[in-house]
Amino acid sequence: MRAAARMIRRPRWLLAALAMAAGSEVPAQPALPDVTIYMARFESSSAIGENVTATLNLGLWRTLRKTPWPANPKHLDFGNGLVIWSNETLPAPASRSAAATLRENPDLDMILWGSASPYGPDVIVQSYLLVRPLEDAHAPRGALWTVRRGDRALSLGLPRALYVLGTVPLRRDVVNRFRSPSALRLCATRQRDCAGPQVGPAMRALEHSGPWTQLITPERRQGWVYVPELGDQPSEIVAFTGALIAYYRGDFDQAERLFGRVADTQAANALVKEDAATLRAASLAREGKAANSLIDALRGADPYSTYALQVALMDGLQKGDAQRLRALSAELRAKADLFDEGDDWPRQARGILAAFGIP
Amino acid sequence: MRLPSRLIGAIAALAAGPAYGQALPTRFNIDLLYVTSSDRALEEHVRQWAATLNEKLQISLVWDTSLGLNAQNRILVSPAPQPVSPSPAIIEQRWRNRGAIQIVSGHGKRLPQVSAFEGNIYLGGLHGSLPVAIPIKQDINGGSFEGSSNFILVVTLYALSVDAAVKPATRCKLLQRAAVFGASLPASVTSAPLVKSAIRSDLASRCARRPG
Repeated sequence: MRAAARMIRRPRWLLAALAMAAGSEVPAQPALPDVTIYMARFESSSAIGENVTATLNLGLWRTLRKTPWPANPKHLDFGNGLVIWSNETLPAPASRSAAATLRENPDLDMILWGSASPYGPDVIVQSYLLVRPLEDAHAPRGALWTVRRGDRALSLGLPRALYVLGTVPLRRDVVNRFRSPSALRLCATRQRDCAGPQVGPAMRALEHSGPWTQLITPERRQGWVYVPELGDQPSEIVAFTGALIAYYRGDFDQAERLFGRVADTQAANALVKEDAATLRAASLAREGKAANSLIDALRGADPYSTYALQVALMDGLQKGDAQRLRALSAELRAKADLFDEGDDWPRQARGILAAFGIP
Repeated sequence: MRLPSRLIGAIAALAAGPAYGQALPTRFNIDLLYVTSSDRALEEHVRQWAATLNEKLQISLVWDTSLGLNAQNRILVSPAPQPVSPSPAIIEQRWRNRGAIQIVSGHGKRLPQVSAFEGNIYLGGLHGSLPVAIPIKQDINGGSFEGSSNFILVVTLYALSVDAAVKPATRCKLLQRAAVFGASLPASVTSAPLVKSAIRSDLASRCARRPG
Protein backbone atom coordinates (compact mmCIF):
# COMPACT_ATOMS: atom_id res chain seq x y z
CA MET A 1 0.00 0.00 0.00
CA ARG A 2 1.43 3.40 -0.92
CA ALA A 3 1.67 5.68 2.05
CA ALA A 4 2.01 9.35 2.81
CA ALA A 5 2.25 9.11 6.53
CA ARG A 6 4.86 11.17 8.23
CA MET A 7 5.91 10.81 11.82
CA ILE A 8 7.68 13.49 13.73
CA ARG A 9 8.71 13.54 17.35
CA ARG A 10 8.00 16.81 19.08
CA PRO A 11 11.12 17.63 20.98
CA ARG A 12 12.32 21.19 21.54
CA TRP A 13 13.97 21.24 18.10
CA LEU A 14 10.71 20.35 16.38
CA LEU A 15 10.76 23.27 13.99
CA ALA A 16 14.03 22.22 12.44
CA ALA A 17 12.85 18.64 11.95
CA LEU A 18 9.61 19.73 10.33
CA ALA A 19 11.32 22.16 8.04
CA MET A 20 13.64 19.48 6.76
CA ALA A 21 10.79 17.11 6.13
CA ALA A 22 8.80 19.72 4.31
CA GLY A 23 11.64 21.04 2.26
CA SER A 24 13.07 17.83 0.99
CA GLU A 25 10.43 15.17 0.89
CA VAL A 26 6.89 16.44 1.08
CA PRO A 27 5.50 17.98 -2.05
CA ALA A 28 3.04 20.83 -1.60
CA GLN A 29 -0.62 19.80 -1.78
CA PRO A 30 -2.36 23.17 -1.85
CA ALA A 31 -5.79 21.74 -2.66
CA LEU A 32 -5.77 19.16 0.11
CA PRO A 33 -5.19 19.93 3.76
CA ASP A 34 -2.99 17.75 5.93
CA VAL A 35 -4.53 15.90 8.82
CA THR A 36 -2.42 15.93 11.96
CA ILE A 37 -2.69 13.81 15.08
CA TYR A 38 -0.73 14.47 18.24
CA MET A 39 0.15 11.53 20.49
CA ALA A 40 1.15 12.37 24.04
CA ARG A 41 3.20 9.88 26.03
CA PHE A 42 0.92 7.38 27.78
CA GLU A 43 0.78 7.65 31.59
CA SER A 44 2.55 4.82 33.36
CA SER A 45 4.48 4.20 36.53
CA SER A 46 7.35 2.80 34.41
CA ALA A 47 8.96 3.24 31.00
CA ILE A 48 6.17 1.15 29.49
CA GLY A 49 4.21 4.35 28.75
CA GLU A 50 6.85 5.44 26.27
CA ASN A 51 6.86 2.01 24.63
CA VAL A 52 3.07 1.97 24.31
CA THR A 53 3.07 5.42 22.73
CA ALA A 54 5.69 4.29 20.23
CA THR A 55 3.89 1.01 19.50
CA LEU A 56 0.51 2.64 18.87
CA ASN A 57 2.19 5.39 16.91
CA LEU A 58 3.69 2.85 14.53
CA GLY A 59 0.43 0.95 14.22
CA LEU A 60 -1.47 4.14 13.43
CA TRP A 61 1.14 5.34 10.98
CA ARG A 62 0.68 2.14 9.03
CA THR A 63 -3.04 2.80 8.47
CA LEU A 64 -2.38 6.00 6.53
CA ARG A 65 -2.15 6.08 2.76
CA LYS A 66 -1.75 8.77 0.18
CA THR A 67 -3.77 7.29 -2.66
CA PRO A 68 -6.03 4.27 -3.20
CA TRP A 69 -3.94 1.15 -3.66
CA PRO A 70 -3.26 -0.84 -5.80
CA ALA A 71 -5.66 0.77 -8.31
CA ASN A 72 -6.46 4.47 -8.40
CA PRO A 73 -8.83 4.89 -11.36
CA LYS A 74 -10.15 8.25 -10.13
CA HIS A 75 -6.63 9.60 -9.56
CA LEU A 76 -7.43 10.48 -5.96
CA ASP A 77 -4.87 12.03 -3.64
CA PHE A 78 -5.67 12.28 0.05
CA GLY A 79 -2.88 14.68 0.96
CA ASN A 80 -0.62 14.02 3.90
CA GLY A 81 -1.28 12.44 7.25
CA LEU A 82 1.05 13.61 9.98
CA VAL A 83 1.67 11.87 13.30
CA ILE A 84 3.45 13.94 15.93
CA TRP A 85 4.52 12.22 19.12
CA SER A 86 5.89 13.45 22.39
CA ASN A 87 7.85 12.05 25.31
CA GLU A 88 5.76 14.16 27.66
CA THR A 89 2.41 13.18 29.15
CA LEU A 90 -0.47 15.64 29.12
CA PRO A 91 -0.67 17.63 32.37
CA ALA A 92 -3.49 16.51 34.66
CA PRO A 93 -6.35 16.58 34.18
CA ALA A 94 -5.40 15.18 30.79
CA SER A 95 -8.84 15.67 29.23
CA ARG A 96 -8.78 19.37 29.97
CA SER A 97 -5.20 19.71 28.71
CA ALA A 98 -6.15 17.88 25.52
CA ALA A 99 -9.11 20.22 24.96
CA ALA A 100 -6.91 23.27 25.57
CA THR A 101 -4.17 21.96 23.26
CA LEU A 102 -6.64 21.36 20.44
CA ARG A 103 -8.24 24.75 20.96
CA GLU A 104 -4.93 26.61 21.01
CA ASN A 105 -3.40 24.73 18.04
CA PRO A 106 -5.54 24.99 14.92
CA ASP A 107 -2.96 22.85 13.08
CA LEU A 108 -3.86 19.82 15.14
CA ASP A 109 -6.93 17.76 14.30
CA MET A 110 -6.79 15.01 16.94
CA ILE A 111 -5.08 14.13 20.20
CA LEU A 112 -4.59 10.56 21.45
CA TRP A 113 -3.51 9.89 25.02
CA GLY A 114 -4.06 7.36 27.78
CA SER A 115 -2.50 5.14 30.40
CA ALA A 116 -0.67 1.80 30.40
CA SER A 117 -0.13 -0.82 33.12
CA PRO A 118 1.75 -4.14 32.96
CA TYR A 119 -0.63 -7.02 33.67
CA GLY A 120 0.69 -10.58 33.43
CA PRO A 121 1.95 -11.24 29.87
CA ASP A 122 0.14 -8.15 28.57
CA VAL A 123 0.10 -4.41 28.94
CA ILE A 124 -3.35 -3.02 29.63
CA VAL A 125 -3.90 0.18 27.69
CA GLN A 126 -6.75 2.61 28.22
CA SER A 127 -6.81 5.34 25.62
CA TYR A 128 -8.81 8.41 24.71
CA LEU A 129 -9.19 10.29 21.47
CA LEU A 130 -10.28 13.91 21.23
CA VAL A 131 -10.98 15.22 17.74
CA ARG A 132 -11.61 18.67 16.31
CA PRO A 133 -15.31 18.85 15.39
CA LEU A 134 -15.79 18.83 11.64
CA GLU A 135 -17.92 21.98 12.01
CA ASP A 136 -14.86 23.83 13.36
CA ALA A 137 -13.45 26.51 11.06
CA HIS A 138 -10.00 24.87 11.37
CA ALA A 139 -11.19 21.36 10.44
CA PRO A 140 -9.93 20.00 7.10
CA ARG A 141 -11.88 21.42 4.20
CA GLY A 142 -14.44 19.07 2.75
CA ALA A 143 -14.44 16.75 5.76
CA LEU A 144 -17.88 17.94 6.91
CA TRP A 145 -20.68 16.04 5.17
CA THR A 146 -22.92 18.61 3.51
CA VAL A 147 -25.98 18.16 1.29
CA ARG A 148 -27.40 21.13 -0.62
CA ARG A 149 -30.74 21.78 -2.31
CA GLY A 150 -31.30 25.23 -3.77
CA ASP A 151 -30.29 27.72 -1.10
CA ARG A 152 -30.71 25.13 1.65
CA ALA A 153 -27.85 23.11 3.12
CA LEU A 154 -27.64 20.47 5.82
CA SER A 155 -24.39 19.28 7.37
CA LEU A 156 -23.46 16.42 9.65
CA GLY A 157 -20.31 16.15 11.73
CA LEU A 158 -19.31 13.31 14.03
CA PRO A 159 -21.40 11.73 16.80
CA ARG A 160 -19.08 13.15 19.49
CA ALA A 161 -15.66 14.72 19.92
CA LEU A 162 -14.29 12.53 22.73
CA TYR A 163 -13.98 8.76 22.29
CA VAL A 164 -13.25 6.44 25.20
CA LEU A 165 -11.51 3.59 23.44
CA GLY A 166 -11.65 0.10 24.88
CA THR A 167 -9.34 -1.17 27.57
CA VAL A 168 -7.03 -3.18 25.35
CA PRO A 169 -4.38 -5.77 26.20
CA LEU A 170 -1.27 -5.42 24.04
CA ARG A 171 1.46 -8.06 23.89
CA ARG A 172 4.23 -7.01 26.23
CA ASP A 173 6.95 -8.52 24.02
CA VAL A 174 5.79 -6.30 21.14
CA VAL A 175 5.45 -3.22 23.34
CA ASN A 176 8.91 -3.78 24.82
CA ARG A 177 10.36 -3.83 21.33
CA PHE A 178 9.60 -0.18 20.66
CA ARG A 179 10.99 2.41 22.99
CA SER A 180 10.64 5.07 20.33
CA PRO A 181 9.90 5.10 16.60
CA SER A 182 13.13 7.00 16.11
CA ALA A 183 15.03 3.99 17.48
CA LEU A 184 13.80 1.70 14.70
CA ARG A 185 16.62 0.18 12.66
CA LEU A 186 16.56 0.99 8.98
CA CYS A 187 17.24 -2.22 7.04
CA ALA A 188 18.23 -2.48 3.39
CA THR A 189 15.76 -5.33 2.80
CA ARG A 190 12.61 -6.69 4.44
CA GLN A 191 14.00 -8.36 7.52
CA ARG A 192 12.99 -8.49 11.17
CA ASP A 193 16.16 -6.97 12.51
CA CYS A 194 19.44 -5.63 11.27
CA ALA A 195 22.38 -3.53 12.34
CA GLY A 196 21.29 -0.56 10.22
CA PRO A 197 21.21 3.01 11.46
CA GLN A 198 18.42 4.32 13.68
CA VAL A 199 15.67 6.06 11.73
CA GLY A 200 15.80 9.30 13.70
CA PRO A 201 13.07 11.76 14.73
CA ALA A 202 11.35 12.30 11.36
CA MET A 203 10.32 9.86 8.68
CA ARG A 204 7.96 9.49 5.78
CA ALA A 205 6.40 6.19 4.79
CA LEU A 206 6.63 5.21 1.14
CA GLU A 207 5.00 1.79 1.15
CA HIS A 208 3.40 -0.58 3.64
CA SER A 209 3.79 -4.26 2.85
CA GLY A 210 2.67 -6.86 5.39
CA PRO A 211 4.51 -6.17 8.64
CA TRP A 212 7.15 -4.08 6.83
CA THR A 213 7.18 -0.40 5.94
CA GLN A 214 9.52 1.25 3.51
CA LEU A 215 10.40 4.77 4.60
CA ILE A 216 12.61 7.72 3.84
CA THR A 217 14.11 10.22 6.24
CA PRO A 218 14.70 13.94 5.65
CA GLU A 219 18.39 13.04 5.09
CA ARG A 220 17.23 10.83 2.18
CA ARG A 221 18.15 7.61 3.93
CA GLN A 222 15.76 4.95 2.67
CA GLY A 223 15.03 1.43 3.88
CA TRP A 224 12.62 -0.96 5.56
CA VAL A 225 11.40 -1.26 9.17
CA TYR A 226 9.56 -4.19 10.75
CA VAL A 227 6.36 -3.52 12.74
CA PRO A 228 4.60 -6.72 13.92
CA GLU A 229 0.95 -7.08 15.00
CA LEU A 230 0.28 -5.26 18.28
CA GLY A 231 -1.81 -7.88 20.05
CA ASP A 232 -3.36 -11.31 19.81
CA GLN A 233 -6.74 -9.69 19.15
CA PRO A 234 -7.52 -6.76 16.91
CA SER A 235 -7.48 -3.45 18.78
CA GLU A 236 -9.82 -0.59 18.09
CA ILE A 237 -7.29 2.01 19.22
CA VAL A 238 -5.34 1.94 15.98
CA ALA A 239 -8.25 0.98 13.71
CA PHE A 240 -10.71 3.60 15.00
CA THR A 241 -8.16 6.41 15.10
CA GLY A 242 -6.89 5.47 11.64
CA ALA A 243 -10.47 5.33 10.36
CA LEU A 244 -11.22 8.82 11.67
CA ILE A 245 -8.06 10.20 10.10
CA ALA A 246 -9.09 8.61 6.80
CA TYR A 247 -12.59 10.12 7.18
CA TYR A 248 -11.06 13.56 7.79
CA ARG A 249 -8.90 13.13 4.69
CA GLY A 250 -11.79 12.14 2.47
CA ASP A 251 -10.41 8.60 2.08
CA PHE A 252 -13.83 7.03 2.62
CA ASP A 253 -12.83 3.67 1.18
CA GLN A 254 -10.12 3.24 3.81
CA ALA A 255 -12.40 4.74 6.49
CA GLU A 256 -15.15 2.25 5.65
CA ARG A 257 -12.71 -0.65 5.86
CA LEU A 258 -11.20 0.44 9.20
CA PHE A 259 -14.54 1.39 10.79
CA GLY A 260 -15.78 -2.04 9.74
CA ARG A 261 -12.83 -3.65 11.51
CA VAL A 262 -13.72 -1.80 14.74
CA ALA A 263 -17.39 -2.73 14.45
CA ASP A 264 -16.36 -6.38 14.17
CA THR A 265 -13.93 -6.29 17.11
CA GLN A 266 -15.54 -8.33 19.84
CA ALA A 267 -13.87 -6.64 22.80
CA ALA A 268 -14.11 -3.05 21.57
CA ASN A 269 -15.84 -0.37 23.64
CA ALA A 270 -19.57 -0.74 22.93
CA LEU A 271 -20.19 2.93 22.18
CA VAL A 272 -17.13 3.15 19.91
CA LYS A 273 -18.36 0.04 18.10
CA GLU A 274 -21.74 1.65 17.49
CA ASP A 275 -20.10 4.90 16.38
CA ALA A 276 -17.78 2.95 14.08
CA ALA A 277 -20.66 1.03 12.53
CA THR A 278 -22.61 4.25 11.93
CA LEU A 279 -19.58 6.07 10.54
CA ARG A 280 -18.94 3.06 8.30
CA ALA A 281 -22.43 3.60 6.88
CA ALA A 282 -21.69 7.33 6.49
CA SER A 283 -18.43 6.50 4.68
CA LEU A 284 -20.27 4.18 2.29
CA ALA A 285 -22.91 6.84 1.64
CA ARG A 286 -20.28 9.52 1.04
CA GLU A 287 -18.59 7.24 -1.47
CA GLY A 288 -21.91 7.02 -3.29
CA LYS A 289 -22.33 3.35 -2.39
CA ALA A 290 -25.46 1.64 -1.08
CA ALA A 291 -25.73 2.15 2.67
CA ASN A 292 -29.46 1.55 3.27
CA SER A 293 -29.30 -1.97 4.59
CA LEU A 294 -26.46 -1.20 7.00
CA ILE A 295 -28.19 1.94 8.27
CA ASP A 296 -31.49 0.11 8.74
CA ALA A 297 -29.75 -2.67 10.68
CA LEU A 298 -28.10 -0.11 12.95
CA ARG A 299 -31.33 1.72 13.58
CA GLY A 300 -33.09 -1.53 14.28
CA ALA A 301 -30.49 -2.42 16.89
CA ASP A 302 -30.61 1.01 18.53
CA PRO A 303 -33.82 2.89 17.68
CA TYR A 304 -32.88 5.69 20.10
CA SER A 305 -29.67 6.68 18.30
CA THR A 306 -30.13 10.19 16.91
CA TYR A 307 -26.87 9.95 14.96
CA ALA A 308 -28.01 6.88 13.02
CA LEU A 309 -31.23 8.73 12.13
CA GLN A 310 -29.14 11.70 10.98
CA VAL A 311 -26.96 9.49 8.78
CA ALA A 312 -30.08 7.89 7.30
CA LEU A 313 -31.48 11.33 6.46
CA MET A 314 -28.21 12.58 4.94
CA ASP A 315 -28.00 9.43 2.82
CA GLY A 316 -31.62 9.80 1.73
CA LEU A 317 -31.11 13.48 0.85
CA GLN A 318 -27.92 12.75 -1.04
CA LYS A 319 -29.62 10.06 -3.11
CA GLY A 320 -32.91 11.99 -3.42
CA ASP A 321 -34.91 8.96 -2.28
CA ALA A 322 -38.34 10.60 -1.79
CA GLN A 323 -40.15 7.57 -0.39
CA ARG A 324 -37.46 6.95 2.20
CA LEU A 325 -37.26 10.64 3.04
CA ARG A 326 -41.00 10.82 3.77
CA ALA A 327 -40.69 8.03 6.34
CA LEU A 328 -37.56 9.57 7.85
CA SER A 329 -39.22 12.98 8.06
CA ALA A 330 -42.08 11.48 10.08
CA GLU A 331 -39.59 9.73 12.31
CA LEU A 332 -37.64 12.94 12.85
CA ARG A 333 -40.80 14.64 14.07
CA ALA A 334 -41.63 11.72 16.37
CA LYS A 335 -38.14 11.74 17.87
CA ALA A 336 -37.78 15.48 18.35
CA ASP A 337 -37.52 14.98 22.12
CA LEU A 338 -34.32 12.98 21.68
CA PHE A 339 -32.49 16.07 20.42
CA ASP A 340 -31.24 18.79 22.78
CA GLU A 341 -33.42 21.89 23.06
CA GLY A 342 -30.66 24.04 21.60
CA ASP A 343 -29.83 21.67 18.75
CA ASP A 344 -30.74 23.35 15.46
CA TRP A 345 -30.19 20.25 13.32
CA PRO A 346 -33.84 19.01 13.27
CA ARG A 347 -35.08 22.46 12.18
CA GLN A 348 -32.46 22.66 9.43
CA ALA A 349 -33.34 19.14 8.33
CA ARG A 350 -37.01 20.04 8.08
CA GLY A 351 -36.00 23.07 5.99
CA ILE A 352 -34.11 21.05 3.39
CA LEU A 353 -36.76 18.33 3.42
CA ALA A 354 -39.28 21.03 2.51
CA ALA A 355 -37.02 22.00 -0.40
CA PHE A 356 -37.39 18.37 -1.57
CA GLY A 357 -41.17 18.82 -1.31
CA ILE A 358 -41.42 16.62 1.77
CA PRO A 359 -43.46 17.88 4.73
CA MET B 1 3.36 23.07 5.72
CA ARG B 2 1.62 23.52 8.99
CA LEU B 3 3.82 23.85 12.00
CA PRO B 4 2.45 23.05 15.44
CA SER B 5 4.65 25.78 16.82
CA ARG B 6 2.16 26.85 19.45
CA LEU B 7 1.97 23.38 20.85
CA ILE B 8 4.65 23.68 23.48
CA GLY B 9 3.01 26.56 25.31
CA ALA B 10 -0.50 25.36 24.80
CA ILE B 11 -0.05 21.95 26.37
CA ALA B 12 0.49 23.53 29.74
CA ALA B 13 -2.35 25.97 29.27
CA LEU B 14 -5.50 25.00 31.10
CA ALA B 15 -8.87 26.01 29.77
CA ALA B 16 -11.46 27.70 31.92
CA GLY B 17 -14.25 25.34 32.91
CA PRO B 18 -17.45 25.55 30.89
CA ALA B 19 -20.54 27.27 32.25
CA TYR B 20 -22.91 25.01 34.14
CA GLY B 21 -26.25 24.40 32.51
CA GLN B 22 -29.63 23.29 33.74
CA ALA B 23 -28.99 19.62 33.14
CA LEU B 24 -26.76 19.04 36.15
CA PRO B 25 -27.40 15.93 38.19
CA THR B 26 -28.10 16.54 41.86
CA ARG B 27 -25.74 13.84 43.12
CA PHE B 28 -22.07 13.82 42.13
CA ASN B 29 -19.91 11.20 43.86
CA ILE B 30 -19.18 7.62 42.89
CA ASP B 31 -17.25 5.76 45.59
CA LEU B 32 -15.46 2.48 44.87
CA LEU B 33 -14.84 0.79 48.22
CA TYR B 34 -12.75 -2.34 47.96
CA VAL B 35 -11.49 -4.48 50.81
CA THR B 36 -7.73 -4.92 50.87
CA SER B 37 -6.36 -8.45 50.61
CA SER B 38 -3.26 -10.23 51.87
CA ASP B 39 -3.05 -11.97 48.48
CA ARG B 40 -0.69 -9.57 46.76
CA ALA B 41 -1.55 -10.60 43.19
CA LEU B 42 -5.27 -10.34 43.89
CA GLU B 43 -4.78 -7.00 45.62
CA GLU B 44 -2.91 -5.73 42.56
CA HIS B 45 -5.65 -6.93 40.20
CA VAL B 46 -8.34 -5.15 42.20
CA ARG B 47 -6.25 -1.99 42.58
CA GLN B 48 -5.56 -1.79 38.83
CA TRP B 49 -9.17 -2.55 37.98
CA ALA B 50 -10.37 0.21 40.34
CA ALA B 51 -7.84 2.70 38.96
CA THR B 52 -8.77 1.96 35.33
CA LEU B 53 -12.47 2.09 36.16
CA ASN B 54 -11.96 5.39 37.94
CA GLU B 55 -10.23 6.93 34.93
CA LYS B 56 -12.78 5.59 32.48
CA LEU B 57 -15.82 6.70 34.49
CA GLN B 58 -14.36 10.17 35.05
CA ILE B 59 -13.76 10.75 31.37
CA SER B 60 -16.95 9.07 30.16
CA LEU B 61 -19.19 11.06 32.48
CA VAL B 62 -17.37 14.32 33.00
CA TRP B 63 -15.52 15.09 29.79
CA ASP B 64 -17.73 13.59 27.10
CA THR B 65 -19.85 16.67 26.49
CA SER B 66 -22.14 14.79 24.10
CA LEU B 67 -23.97 13.48 27.18
CA GLY B 68 -25.01 17.04 28.02
CA LEU B 69 -24.46 16.66 31.77
CA ASN B 70 -22.47 19.90 32.06
CA ALA B 71 -20.88 18.51 35.20
CA GLN B 72 -17.23 19.36 34.58
CA ASN B 73 -15.26 19.30 37.82
CA ARG B 74 -18.32 18.09 39.71
CA ILE B 75 -18.73 14.34 39.22
CA LEU B 76 -15.99 12.69 41.25
CA VAL B 77 -15.03 9.02 41.19
CA SER B 78 -13.11 7.95 44.32
CA PRO B 79 -11.49 4.53 44.72
CA ALA B 80 -11.04 3.85 48.44
CA PRO B 81 -9.35 0.71 49.85
CA GLN B 82 -10.93 -0.47 53.11
CA PRO B 83 -9.45 -2.71 55.82
CA VAL B 84 -12.80 -4.44 56.40
CA SER B 85 -16.06 -4.70 54.49
CA PRO B 86 -18.29 -1.72 55.39
CA SER B 87 -21.68 -2.52 56.93
CA PRO B 88 -24.92 -1.65 55.05
CA ALA B 89 -25.57 1.14 57.59
CA ILE B 90 -22.17 2.71 56.93
CA ILE B 91 -22.70 2.51 53.17
CA GLU B 92 -26.12 4.10 53.48
CA GLN B 93 -24.70 6.87 55.65
CA ARG B 94 -21.85 7.44 53.20
CA TRP B 95 -24.31 7.65 50.30
CA ARG B 96 -26.25 10.38 52.13
CA ASN B 97 -23.30 12.35 53.46
CA ARG B 98 -21.37 12.43 50.22
CA GLY B 99 -24.32 13.08 47.90
CA ALA B 100 -23.32 9.94 46.06
CA ILE B 101 -24.77 8.73 42.78
CA GLN B 102 -23.83 5.25 43.92
CA ILE B 103 -21.49 3.42 46.27
CA VAL B 104 -19.73 0.37 44.83
CA SER B 105 -18.42 -1.88 47.59
CA GLY B 106 -16.89 -5.35 47.56
CA HIS B 107 -13.79 -7.47 47.58
CA GLY B 108 -11.53 -9.32 45.17
CA LYS B 109 -11.90 -13.09 44.94
CA ARG B 110 -9.66 -15.75 43.43
CA LEU B 111 -11.50 -18.09 41.07
CA PRO B 112 -9.80 -21.05 39.35
CA GLN B 113 -8.87 -19.17 36.17
CA VAL B 114 -9.49 -15.52 36.94
CA SER B 115 -9.82 -12.83 39.57
CA ALA B 116 -13.30 -11.51 40.30
CA PHE B 117 -14.91 -8.62 42.14
CA GLU B 118 -17.88 -9.46 44.34
CA GLY B 119 -20.08 -7.02 46.22
CA ASN B 120 -22.92 -4.55 45.77
CA ILE B 121 -23.83 -1.31 44.08
CA TYR B 122 -25.84 0.84 46.48
CA LEU B 123 -28.17 3.21 44.64
CA GLY B 124 -30.06 4.62 47.63
CA GLY B 125 -33.42 6.30 47.26
CA LEU B 126 -33.30 7.27 43.60
CA HIS B 127 -36.85 5.95 43.04
CA GLY B 128 -35.97 4.35 39.72
CA SER B 129 -36.90 0.90 38.49
CA LEU B 130 -33.96 -0.73 40.28
CA PRO B 131 -33.82 -1.85 43.91
CA VAL B 132 -31.84 0.12 46.49
CA ALA B 133 -28.84 -2.18 46.13
CA ILE B 134 -27.92 -4.68 43.44
CA PRO B 135 -25.36 -7.47 43.71
CA ILE B 136 -22.30 -7.41 41.50
CA LYS B 137 -19.93 -10.26 40.67
CA GLN B 138 -17.68 -10.20 37.65
CA ASP B 139 -14.27 -11.08 36.25
CA ILE B 140 -11.64 -8.40 36.47
CA ASN B 141 -8.80 -10.03 34.56
CA GLY B 142 -6.61 -7.95 32.29
CA GLY B 143 -8.21 -9.11 29.08
CA SER B 144 -11.72 -8.41 30.37
CA PHE B 145 -11.20 -4.92 31.82
CA GLU B 146 -13.42 -3.44 29.14
CA GLY B 147 -16.40 -5.66 29.84
CA SER B 148 -15.97 -5.68 33.58
CA SER B 149 -15.95 -1.91 33.90
CA ASN B 150 -19.00 -1.51 31.70
CA PHE B 151 -21.48 -2.92 34.20
CA ILE B 152 -20.70 -0.19 36.72
CA LEU B 153 -20.82 2.42 33.95
CA VAL B 154 -24.23 1.13 32.84
CA VAL B 155 -25.62 1.36 36.38
CA THR B 156 -24.15 4.86 36.77
CA LEU B 157 -25.74 6.05 33.53
CA TYR B 158 -29.06 4.64 34.66
CA ALA B 159 -28.78 6.28 38.10
CA LEU B 160 -28.00 9.65 36.49
CA SER B 161 -31.00 9.29 34.19
CA VAL B 162 -33.25 8.90 37.22
CA ASP B 163 -31.71 11.87 38.99
CA ALA B 164 -34.30 14.65 39.10
CA ALA B 165 -32.48 17.62 37.58
CA VAL B 166 -31.67 15.96 34.27
CA LYS B 167 -33.53 17.34 31.24
CA PRO B 168 -35.65 14.96 29.11
CA ALA B 169 -33.22 14.89 26.16
CA THR B 170 -30.29 14.29 28.51
CA ARG B 171 -32.23 11.54 30.29
CA CYS B 172 -32.87 9.80 26.98
CA LYS B 173 -29.20 10.11 25.98
CA LEU B 174 -28.16 8.59 29.30
CA LEU B 175 -30.62 5.74 28.90
CA GLN B 176 -29.67 5.21 25.24
CA ARG B 177 -26.01 5.04 26.15
CA ALA B 178 -26.74 2.73 29.07
CA ALA B 179 -28.61 0.47 26.64
CA VAL B 180 -25.67 0.43 24.20
CA PHE B 181 -23.22 -0.58 26.92
CA GLY B 182 -25.79 -2.91 28.48
CA ALA B 183 -26.18 -4.81 25.22
CA SER B 184 -22.47 -5.67 25.35
CA LEU B 185 -22.61 -7.14 28.85
CA PRO B 186 -22.11 -10.89 29.06
CA ALA B 187 -25.18 -12.67 30.39
CA SER B 188 -22.95 -14.13 33.09
CA VAL B 189 -22.53 -10.77 34.82
CA THR B 190 -24.64 -10.87 37.96
CA SER B 191 -27.61 -8.44 37.88
CA ALA B 192 -27.07 -7.59 34.19
CA PRO B 193 -30.54 -8.87 33.11
CA LEU B 194 -32.18 -6.86 35.92
CA VAL B 195 -30.43 -3.63 34.93
CA LYS B 196 -31.04 -4.12 31.21
CA SER B 197 -34.72 -4.68 31.87
CA ALA B 198 -34.95 -1.43 33.87
CA ILE B 199 -33.24 0.49 31.07
CA ARG B 200 -35.55 -0.96 28.41
CA SER B 201 -38.59 -0.14 30.51
CA ASP B 202 -37.52 3.47 31.13
CA LEU B 203 -36.58 4.02 27.48
CA ALA B 204 -40.01 2.84 26.41
CA SER B 205 -41.87 4.94 28.95
CA ARG B 206 -39.75 8.11 28.90
CA CYS B 207 -38.25 8.31 25.41
CA ALA B 208 -40.85 6.53 23.31
CA ARG B 209 -42.91 8.36 20.71
CA ARG B 210 -41.52 5.94 18.15
CA PRO B 211 -43.45 5.66 14.92
CA GLY B 212 -44.71 2.30 13.90
